[in-house]
Amino acid sequence: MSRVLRAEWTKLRTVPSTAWLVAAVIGLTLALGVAAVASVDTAHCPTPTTCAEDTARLSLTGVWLGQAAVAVLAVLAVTNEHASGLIRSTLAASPSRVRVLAGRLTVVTVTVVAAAALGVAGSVLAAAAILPSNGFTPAHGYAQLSLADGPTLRAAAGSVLYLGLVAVIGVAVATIVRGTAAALTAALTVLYAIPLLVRFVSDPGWQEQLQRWSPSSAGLTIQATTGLERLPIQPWAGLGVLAGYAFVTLVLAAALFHSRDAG
Amino acid sequence: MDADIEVRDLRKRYGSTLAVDGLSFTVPPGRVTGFVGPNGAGKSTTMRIILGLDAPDEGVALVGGRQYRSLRTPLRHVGALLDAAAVHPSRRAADHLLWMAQASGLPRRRVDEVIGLVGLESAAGRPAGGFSLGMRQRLGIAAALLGDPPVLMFDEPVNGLDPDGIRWIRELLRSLAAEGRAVLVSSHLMGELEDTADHLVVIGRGRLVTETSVGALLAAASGGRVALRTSHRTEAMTVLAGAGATVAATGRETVTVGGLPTERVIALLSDHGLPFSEVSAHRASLEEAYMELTRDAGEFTAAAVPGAS
Repeated sequence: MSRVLRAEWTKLRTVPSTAWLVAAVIGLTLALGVAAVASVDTAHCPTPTTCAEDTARLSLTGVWLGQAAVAVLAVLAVTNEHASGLIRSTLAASPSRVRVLAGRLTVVTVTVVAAAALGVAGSVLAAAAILPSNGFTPAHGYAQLSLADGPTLRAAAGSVLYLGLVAVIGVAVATIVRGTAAALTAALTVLYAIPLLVRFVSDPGWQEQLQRWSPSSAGLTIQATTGLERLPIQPWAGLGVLAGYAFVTLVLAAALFHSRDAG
Repeated sequence: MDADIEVRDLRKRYGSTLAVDGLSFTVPPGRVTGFVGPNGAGKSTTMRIILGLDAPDEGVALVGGRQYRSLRTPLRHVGALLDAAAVHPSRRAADHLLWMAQASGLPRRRVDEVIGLVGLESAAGRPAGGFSLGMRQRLGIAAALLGDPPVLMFDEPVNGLDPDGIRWIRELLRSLAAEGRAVLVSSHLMGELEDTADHLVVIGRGRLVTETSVGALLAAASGGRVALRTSHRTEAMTVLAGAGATVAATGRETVTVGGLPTERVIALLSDHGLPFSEVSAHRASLEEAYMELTRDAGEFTAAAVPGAS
């Protein structure tokens, strides 16, 4: 296994696009987070104390954009080998399909989790610096945003795990469909189109059910630190739903990868 | 581990196409075995099955007596060049070899060695996407040699190479076999193998046409015929045919004569006052022998089977 891991790590790090995409994961997460935090001011509310803003969640808004870079990174790590025929060299060097998939999954997920940790921690720190100047002060009833605070830490760590699970799904979906365009379409549909479509469901009961079971909507509830009673699904349970999807697609990917001819 | 390849009763179907149909042959150590057949005959499919990339519907392919997928570090047992274009365009050539070495538990030093062996020192730090076809072939051959394997397979290695590259590969293949390795090299052009292979496995439509030595095949195809060069080709052909020979024009002034010994051909031409500049024993080219062979094989024709290669 360590041989496959080393080989997969070398493959991932020796392609320039990996470094760019890691930078994009960090940069997009941070940039959108900062933009979201900077755009909100207690002065916009009738009184500073009635904003009812979930500042932790607000600071992690960038994860919504960072996940696109994560999906692209995970998908490309798999599909570039199918596009070039390199997959045949990979499987000739390491005939165990399960080991290759496990090795690839490990290096991609660890890379994404490391990048996500930087982007998420940076987002929280940046928000902690910006929020007080926008009126979110203890005097107005908003605690100073800090990773030492339990719910904030859960939201931040959960966001890192969320991006890690997006990477798992990206690798699994790409292993199943093999083509870059098809895999990217599938991954981005799951992440963006489904939550968007769910908003157009007019029946509130149905909408809540769908939000509870759609992968990204459920998974992102891990970021909520206030108003938990109004959520369609509780934070850890929501992340669990995403993990369930990741597990199922991964098992399917492993089964197909093991039984198919190298294409 | 024995250095050989054994293919037994192999059968593989892709959709409605039967790519390999009950194929059996062996590739012994110490010589270059040519694997010949028209495009679509099933050569690449067979090689992919030997490498455990595609699973056969029936039959087995063994390398040194073992199935490829059961090998822990297969690149130390079998080196293969299937498709020189199968590289990530923006990965440096040295890194391409490095991950393969790591997957096989080989030291980094081995990467530098094979780079030197194929003469890619100056290009090793460049992305493989900018390589010419010849450089990619060299990179692919470096990858095949990485594990110093006793068994080597090359799929159409001279495709698209310049004469220097072709000569280099021929010499390399011969020297690898001389070191006692089993070398299987495929081609859809017989002539490419004429100076390289000792032994031939000829297939068509996924089936074995013949397994023979190059010498035996050439001798059989030459069949005691006589090559004649004369400025009076038409008259000569009439005279010789009248004497019971089978004649075939091979050029404006050249004729191949079968069924008559050389002395009789000379005597007949002299008797009729027909001048000639050359009479010699005909030496068939491998290409000719191949055509002869596939004609004899009856149902086999050189038509490509669609969808498989």
